[in-house]
Amino acid sequence: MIDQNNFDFKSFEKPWHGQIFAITVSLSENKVFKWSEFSKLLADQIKMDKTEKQNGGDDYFFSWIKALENLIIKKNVVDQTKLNITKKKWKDAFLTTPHGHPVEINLKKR
Amino acid sequence: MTEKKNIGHNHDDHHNHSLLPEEPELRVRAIETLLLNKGIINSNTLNELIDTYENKIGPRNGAKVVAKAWVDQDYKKRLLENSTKAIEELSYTGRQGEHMVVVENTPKVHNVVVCTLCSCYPWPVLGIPPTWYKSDEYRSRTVREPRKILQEFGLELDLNIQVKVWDSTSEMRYLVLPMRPAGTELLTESELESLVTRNSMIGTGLPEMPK
Repeated sequence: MIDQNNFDFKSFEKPWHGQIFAITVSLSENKVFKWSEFSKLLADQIKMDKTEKQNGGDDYFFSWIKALENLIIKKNVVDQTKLNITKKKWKDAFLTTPHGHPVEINLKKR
Repeated sequence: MTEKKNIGHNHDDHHNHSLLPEEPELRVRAIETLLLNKGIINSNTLNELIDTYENKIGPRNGAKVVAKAWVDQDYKKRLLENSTKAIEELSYTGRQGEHMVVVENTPKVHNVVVCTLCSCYPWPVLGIPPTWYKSDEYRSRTVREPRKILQEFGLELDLNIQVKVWDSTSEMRYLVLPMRPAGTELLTESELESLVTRNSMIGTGLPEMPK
């Protein structure tokens, strides 16, 4: 049975859904890749991640993230190591920044 | 003199740091940080894009197209012949609206739109697709058992009505032109517009009846 989520409709259920959407549109408009290249990878990724529980929310946008990561790595815009390091920095920043303070990272610091 | 008392659960023991976001959110932050740092994207553009699709572009645009087609036979003809161009007349253009096809519901045919592979959707007229449109169930079952899916949306169609399923691609995006509800002859175009629901333009619903 499909959860229709019909009347209480928000474009993006969570802020990060909107962020990854906007990043992808922006990259495509800056001609980093064609939208059709991205949608092909997204379709493949959704297929790879397929489960019956996939409800089109978090899981859908998680597939979107993986598709975009693969594409920007393929296009040599970023590399996997840098992505991992940056993610780790954000994680550490969240774990060490006192509650109530803005969480920030410094990219230049290694 | 003030005294701080901790009763029961000591909040500070457990949450002295900021709340750690989920894994996907951290990955989005990493992508965003690196791309901003390289100057390939910028924050203002991202904020504008999110604002546009949260607040400015949505199914109300599509409803205007439908209502116009209901009251203006010439427009309807243009809409069915060259959908992209006719929709452009109302200035709904741009991202994911380049190759539009409008399919008309009739007493004999009911159209329903899906994207079996991902979530291709006509953004300029409908905005961002609802969550269920992107679900595995909707994507996989709509082609296989459209009548059952429509039933789940509360739409019981007569067996003599043919159900046509249109599978969107990044090159072809569909909008359903629903039938104008009976008893709406005296309504204005803008009153008609308010009867057009998002689901009626995807095909998983019908327009509302006038009150």
